[in-house]
Amino acid sequence: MLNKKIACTLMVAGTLAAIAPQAMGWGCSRSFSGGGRYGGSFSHSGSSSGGYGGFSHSGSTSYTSRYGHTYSGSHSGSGTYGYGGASYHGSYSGSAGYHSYSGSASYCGYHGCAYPTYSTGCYGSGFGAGLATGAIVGAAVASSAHAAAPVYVYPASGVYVQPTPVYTAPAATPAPAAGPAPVPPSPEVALPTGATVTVLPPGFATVTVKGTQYYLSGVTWYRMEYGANGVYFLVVPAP
Amino acid sequence: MKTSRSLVLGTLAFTLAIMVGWNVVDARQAAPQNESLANRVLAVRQQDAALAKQYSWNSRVELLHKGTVQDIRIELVSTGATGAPERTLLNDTPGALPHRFLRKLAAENQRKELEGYLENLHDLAEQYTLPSAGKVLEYLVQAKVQPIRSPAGNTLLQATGNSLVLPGDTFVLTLDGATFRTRRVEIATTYQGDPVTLTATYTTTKGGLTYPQYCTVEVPSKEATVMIHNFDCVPND
Repeated sequence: MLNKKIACTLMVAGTLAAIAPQAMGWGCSRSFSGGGRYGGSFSHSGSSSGGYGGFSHSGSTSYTSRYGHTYSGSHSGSGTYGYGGASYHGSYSGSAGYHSYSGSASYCGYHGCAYPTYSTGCYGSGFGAGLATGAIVGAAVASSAHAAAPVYVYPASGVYVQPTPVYTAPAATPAPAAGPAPVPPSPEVALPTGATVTVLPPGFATVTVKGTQYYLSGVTWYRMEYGANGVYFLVVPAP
Repeated sequence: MKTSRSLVLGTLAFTLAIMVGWNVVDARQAAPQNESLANRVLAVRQQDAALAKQYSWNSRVELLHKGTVQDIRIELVSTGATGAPERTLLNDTPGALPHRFLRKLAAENQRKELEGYLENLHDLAEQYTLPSAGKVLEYLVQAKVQPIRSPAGNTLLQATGNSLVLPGDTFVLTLDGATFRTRRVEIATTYQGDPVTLTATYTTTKGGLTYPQYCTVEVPSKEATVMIHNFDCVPND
C-alpha cells in the first residue's frame, strides 16, 4: 500500500514536473508616470508575458514637454530564449509632435549584435532613436515588465562639407580692332554773337575785364543784360 | 510787456518796410552801373507797396531768450490808406516767469533789459530797409551782382554789398532773375559791438504781392532771437 502511494505521488509529481515547464506561464503588467527634471510629464504602461522558451512584451510611452509638445511611442516584440542564446524581434512606432517614426530592432544574444533600423518623417527625431534604443534594452532584459523613462539620444554632430566655390570668369573682352584712336568729345561750339540765353550753363566762370563783368562758359562769352522779361545773357565776342 | 511790444512793433516795422519799400523816389540820379537793375527793383517795390494796401495777413512774432520763449504775439496786419501798417492784436502770450519772488524779479529785470536793447536795435535795423530809392541805388551801385542758378534751374541775382550802414556790415539781396522780386535778404551787422544777423525769406502770393514769410533776428551775444512768421496773406474783402 505504501508503495502504491509512493508510486502515485511520484507519478503525479513526475507528471507535474514534466508539464509545468510548458504549462506554467507568467505574465504581468505595469504602468507608471512621472515628471522630468526640466518639466513635463511622462507615462508608461507595458505588459509582458512569457512561458517556457518564449516571451512577448508590449508597451507604450508618452511624454508631454513643458512646452506642451506630446511625444508618444509604442513598441512590441517577442522572442525566444533557451540554452545557448536568445533572440528578440520587435517593432516600434511613435510620434513626436508632428514627426513620426517607425522601425524594428533585433537582438541576437550571443550570436551577434543588434542593429536597430528606423525611419523618421523628418530630421530631428532624436526621440525616435531613443525609443529604439529603449526597445533594444527592453529586448535584452527580455522579460522585464517595465520600461525605463524615455532615453534621449542626441544625433551625432554633423559633418559639414563646404562646397567648393565655383568661379565663373567673365567672358573675355575682345581686343579692340586696330584702327584710329577714339575721338574725344568735341569742344563746345561757341554760340553766335548776339544770341541770348536766360540761364547760364552750369560751371560758368565770372571774369571782369576793364570793369565789365563777363561770364565765360567753354569758349562762349556772355554779358548780363536786363530786359522786360528779366535778366538775360547776351553772347559777346571775347573781350 | 511794454518793451516786448515795442520790440515786436519795431521788428514788424522793419520787415514791412522791406516789403513795401517806403518813400520810393525816382532813381534818375543813380550811377549808370546797375541802374537798370535798380530801376527794376524799385518798380517791383512800388507794385508791392500798392498791392499791400489790398492785403492783410497774420503775423506771429516770437521772442526767445536763452532758448526760452519770452513772448508770443499774433497780430492781424493790414496797410492803411497812408501806407503805414495797422495792427490788431489777436493774441499775446507772455512767457512764464519763475514763481519765487527773487528769481521772478531777476527774470523780469532781465527781460526788460533785453527788450530795451532790442528796441534800440530797431532803429539800426530800419536803416537796412533801404527806405528810399536813393538807398536802393546806393546799395546796388556798390554791390557785386552775381547770377546764380537756383536748384530749379532758374537764374537768381545775388547782390552783395558791404558797409552799407556801418563799416564792415554785409547786405545780401537775392532777387528772382525773371521778375526782380526779392527772394531772400541776409544782413550781418553789429550793434553796440554785438554781432547781429537778420534773415528774411520771401514769397509771392498768387495776386503778385511779395512779402517776407519768415524773418529771424539773432543776437548771439545776448542769446536773443526774434522769429516772425507772416501767414494767411489774403486780399481784403
